Amino acid sequence: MSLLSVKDLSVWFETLDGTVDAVKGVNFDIKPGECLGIVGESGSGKSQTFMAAMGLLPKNGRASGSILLEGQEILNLPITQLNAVRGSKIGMIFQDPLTALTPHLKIGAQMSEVLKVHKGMSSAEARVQCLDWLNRTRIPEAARRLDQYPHELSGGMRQRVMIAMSMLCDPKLLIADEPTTALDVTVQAEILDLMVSLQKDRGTAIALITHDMGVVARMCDRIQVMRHGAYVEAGTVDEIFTQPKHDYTRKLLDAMPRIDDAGAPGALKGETLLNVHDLKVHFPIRMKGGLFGKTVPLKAVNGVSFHLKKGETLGIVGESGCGKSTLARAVLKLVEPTGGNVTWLGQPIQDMDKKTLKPFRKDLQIVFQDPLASLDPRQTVAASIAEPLKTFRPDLTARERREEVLKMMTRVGLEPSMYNRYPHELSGGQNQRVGIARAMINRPKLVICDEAVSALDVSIQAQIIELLKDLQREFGMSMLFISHDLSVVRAVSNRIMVLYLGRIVELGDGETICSAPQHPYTKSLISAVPIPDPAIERSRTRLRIPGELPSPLDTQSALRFLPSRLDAGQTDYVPQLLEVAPGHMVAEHDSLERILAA
Amino acid sequence: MNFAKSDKAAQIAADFTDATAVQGRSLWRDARDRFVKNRAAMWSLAILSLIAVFVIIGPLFAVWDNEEIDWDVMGDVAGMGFPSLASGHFFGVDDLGRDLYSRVIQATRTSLLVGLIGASMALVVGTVYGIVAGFVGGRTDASMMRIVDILLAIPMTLVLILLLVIAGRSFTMLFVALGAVSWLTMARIVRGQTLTLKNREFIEAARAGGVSEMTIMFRHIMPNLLGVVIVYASLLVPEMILAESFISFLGLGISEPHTSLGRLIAEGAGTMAYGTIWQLAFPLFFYVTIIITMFFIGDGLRDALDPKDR
Repeated sequence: MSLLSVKDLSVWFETLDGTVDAVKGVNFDIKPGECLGIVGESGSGKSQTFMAAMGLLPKNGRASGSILLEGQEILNLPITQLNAVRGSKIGMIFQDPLTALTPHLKIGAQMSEVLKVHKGMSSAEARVQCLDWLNRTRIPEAARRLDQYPHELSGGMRQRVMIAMSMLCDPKLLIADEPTTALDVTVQAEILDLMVSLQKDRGTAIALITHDMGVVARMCDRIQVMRHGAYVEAGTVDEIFTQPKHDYTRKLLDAMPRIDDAGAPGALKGETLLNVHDLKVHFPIRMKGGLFGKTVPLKAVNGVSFHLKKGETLGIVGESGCGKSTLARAVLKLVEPTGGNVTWLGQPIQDMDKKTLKPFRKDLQIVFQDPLASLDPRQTVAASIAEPLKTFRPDLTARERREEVLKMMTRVGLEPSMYNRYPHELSGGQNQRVGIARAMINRPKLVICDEAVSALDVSIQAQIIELLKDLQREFGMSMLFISHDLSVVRAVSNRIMVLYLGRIVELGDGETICSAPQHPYTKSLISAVPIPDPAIERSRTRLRIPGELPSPLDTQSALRFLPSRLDAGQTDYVPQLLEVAPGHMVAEHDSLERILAA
Repeated sequence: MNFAKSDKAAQIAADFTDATAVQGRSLWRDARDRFVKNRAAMWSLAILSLIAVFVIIGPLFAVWDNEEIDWDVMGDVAGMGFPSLASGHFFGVDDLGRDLYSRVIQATRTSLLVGLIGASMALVVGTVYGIVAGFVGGRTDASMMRIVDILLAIPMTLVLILLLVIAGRSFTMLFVALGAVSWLTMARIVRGQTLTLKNREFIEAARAGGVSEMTIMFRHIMPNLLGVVIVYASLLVPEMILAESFISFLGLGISEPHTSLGRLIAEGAGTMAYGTIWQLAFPLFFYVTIIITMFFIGDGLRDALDPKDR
């Protein structure tokens, strides 16, 4: 008998603009102990299906059909009866573990609340059980975590807390709504492993909602592909990945960049456009201690050197907090570098004041991560695109400017009719096109893409990458492509630079970095990237370096890959970059066994 | 055709095709369109305009001057001074037997001027000051905001009295004095908003696009704070009107025979127990109407200036 059985479920929303159908009559079953993947892009209604099951639809949401949990109808139950089911028989974890935890309650208090409500436990009993579950999720120093607030934990730890919390009452079904989307790859790999072990040990069924085909390939037994509120294809993992029947499934699979793909763009020869030497950005951070506290420098970027050739794309990879965005902003002088040189076409720009730098800005542009936040909400998209034109080509008349903008809009694939739209009226992908159009309108020589595709759906992501490559072919600009997603970086970059806590650990051409990495950190990053192919994905061994990404304030963590120096007491030793092959630089490190032993 | 070949015709033709192609919209044009669609705001604007028109052409219909005392009714205001078309006292008379119609017109004019000019001074000075402090930041911000803090710490009444005593009583000085105290809170609000805005990515994007700091302030920061600023300014109008009546009560603001709504209401409230309710009702009606319409207009402006709100 199936655990959860959904029959003809429809979800719709009453809005001022009429009814919006989110889910249009779907049917599926989840058997005990299996992992069902629900795949689709944003707005396909994949979350709403389960929101309806949990009675978590917004006020204007309505649902019809039937959802049976172990034969009992749970759809549209009154809240009081539903509360007996939620949390005890079904657990749920959300995408953003920070917003899903109450910020002013300690971890212990939030967790034991579940037990007190569902099992009527006393505080002391509940605490013991909470600690037990935190240990099972392998949180370091679990006992201390109980008395911490959510903001004191890292993203990965918070997600572990969420999982522990949803598992407290031993639910039969765990709904995981994009559980790892907000996390770094290495953390994602650990969270996924944790979920697999829960599924095996406790026999918990998992409904995994995600857009990431790689995650699905690793985790799921069966897959439902969802689009526009209906299932377009269903089947086992192997069926879907080897013989996708529906066009949309095929499109999704093709859109996924793979880290083991052949044909990464190779290294280029040509004149050097940008030369960065020993760039440092330190932020003063006030710490407690002493009478007035003391300032400690946070070394966001700590001595990075690289060069960029004309028409080349350099990918910058690293986990959150490694300083990749700060590096980009320091190159553009949007943040003031603390030390080092940035040379642009032979001209050192780091000491220039705003006025002398201004003419250079024409050739240095940036595309931001969040397309909506990077556009002025009170300007039409056309006004945003036209802004650099106004600055650098004041000779244009309003009419010429409009033509120029319209031309660029068509070039990046925006309808001319969107000329007068405001950013909030466009989709994420369209807004990112606006951001790209704004960056490209003056035909710059260098465009920095700071996680430019990370906030987008896979298929949109593929389109935007294609657009960027196209524009690069047409205008010959160089790119610094920053992303935490190695497979995306690989698809576009001639060379890849791996950053760890503000320093380069490895730099080389894309092929070498992805298939023959030297540094243990690069190896662990690459082995953590899921590959959208179940056969390969399940047979891969993962290189796991213990612990989470440490804080850049911790001086010892910079030597995580050189424990021998740490043991020798050289805590301020700076690992040197060694050239192991022409164009392939690797930072000093100990042998893998030595690091894992530390 | 010969006609189409001339340069001028070509120009006209180009202009014509231009008009049919996509026209650029600006925030201001959109805001106007949205404001016109807001019925409550439009009604309020109409009513406020009617009051303004009444203030301008009202005196033409007045039978009595505002300084003239009607000696006939003075002895028995409650019995004979009631509003009537026959006696020419359309709104009745006040406690001294002066025509309330003329006095209300004069008072409304004073109060509207005080409210609007006082609030707009606060609007302009406070917004510019706040944006500069918040956007420049650092030491400039610290010293600019300490000045505001110090001024806020001194009781407003004291500042007003000092200003009016030193510079002498006049209409202009009253505006200056009210403006001088009212911009402080505005500056604080604007600075706070600027601080949150200036770290947003679109400001960084503008900077990367080579836009100068000055232009960023006025092209990107200002339109984004308008919503808050305008709502606060619409709340300031009644506050100014009240502040004026308080100063006048101290004998420093507007003095007899000039009057303002605040004073008339105070007088009317003092005599309401003696059967002369019209002395309170007419000025109060104008006062309340002005304030309520200002609220709706402010609300309408905020919605109109926010493209997200439709």
